[in-house]
Amino acid sequence: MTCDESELLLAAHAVGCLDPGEETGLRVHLEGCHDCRRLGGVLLHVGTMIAGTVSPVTPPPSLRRNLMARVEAEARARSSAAVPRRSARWHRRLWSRVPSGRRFTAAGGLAAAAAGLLAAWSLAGPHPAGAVAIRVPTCGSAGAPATRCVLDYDPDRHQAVLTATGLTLPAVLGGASAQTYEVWLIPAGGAPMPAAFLAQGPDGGSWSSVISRSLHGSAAIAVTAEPAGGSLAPTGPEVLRVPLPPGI
Amino acid sequence: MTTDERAVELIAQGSPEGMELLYDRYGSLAYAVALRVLRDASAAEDVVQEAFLSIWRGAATYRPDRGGVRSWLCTVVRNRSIDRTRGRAGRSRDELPLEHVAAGSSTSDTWTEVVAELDREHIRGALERLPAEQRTTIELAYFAGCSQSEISARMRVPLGTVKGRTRLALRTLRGVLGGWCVEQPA
Repeated sequence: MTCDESELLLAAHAVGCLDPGEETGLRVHLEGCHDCRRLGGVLLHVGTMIAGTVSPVTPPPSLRRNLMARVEAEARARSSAAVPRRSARWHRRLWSRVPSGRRFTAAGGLAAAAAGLLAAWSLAGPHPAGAVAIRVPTCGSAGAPATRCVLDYDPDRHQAVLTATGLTLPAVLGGASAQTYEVWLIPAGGAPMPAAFLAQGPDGGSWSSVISRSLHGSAAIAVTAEPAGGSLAPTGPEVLRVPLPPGI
Repeated sequence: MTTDERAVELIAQGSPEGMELLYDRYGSLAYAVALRVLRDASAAEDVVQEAFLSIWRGAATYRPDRGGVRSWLCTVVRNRSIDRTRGRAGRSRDELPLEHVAAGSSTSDTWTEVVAELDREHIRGALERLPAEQRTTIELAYFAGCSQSEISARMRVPLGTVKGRTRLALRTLRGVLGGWCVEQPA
């Protein structure tokens, strides 16, 4: 790709009309062309200013009222949710035995069982030193409004256990699960990253997952219903979302 | 520290006061952008609320090295509005490796706003002065969320023509902001 061709695509990118298939070639060119990276930044800046040329329109007062009511409710929930807990040595040992990075394997099954135990623990018992428990009473999205969840996060070990209740069973086809609940880390300003799967706990009513990745830099954790085996990017409906406190 | 920076800082600390500041400064503009894209008052309300909540929840994070708060907020609202009107749920947008233009470093609200308002006036004026076919191309792209192929089909012109018009329009707009050489269409 020449710089002239690159400029055509950068202009399209700046106003959001670049055809999806053309991005790969542009990206390759940009990696090796400082001038085009600079030009692209300038054009994008110009593009973002187009929205600002619209004349303001006074919104109905209900918009501010509703928005601030939700913001204040979430602020109250956050301040009561992020509670540091005292240490429990046995928990650290159990936690360290949970294998990481598995999908639906035998190890994953064992991990899910361990996660279930951990979840039961997290709802009742003391947590390791430095662990943070984030309780989100109503985190369900439109498809599962009754969902509640608890996220126990150990920042020292970069591990977390997500436990949810109120989820319905994923779709079943021919006796086998056609869907699974996949957990995503949502980076601030980035694309969702697959992190784990939820496994049904022994009580049948709770779902748990061990997330063996640092939550640092993530703005939220979300769960979507995906085809059995999971997806590389979310395709199904979001069933819950846990906003993470800044600086976690 | 400008009022915008203060608002962003308060939001990052989890203070609702930051959201009040941001909304009171830009709620009308955000609503206007959503209304322009969606042409439906109720849908525009929904989108503006979702956009501000995404900012509050940290899903849309402000990067000072990527321009001012106003442009950033408008982009969040515009993208969400486009996603809604085109039936896309929270589409993720991959970032290209660009050298972004940083926001102004002035600590004065007044000076920052004067400069920003002048830039907006220049862009608005330049948009109005663009040849009709270039202006329509930009509006279909920016406010209707059409890809270049879709614009080509809608305007019944070859794809290459759409690309050329987009580039010429952006060159003109860039010229009024930065004093670069502006190449007019033949």
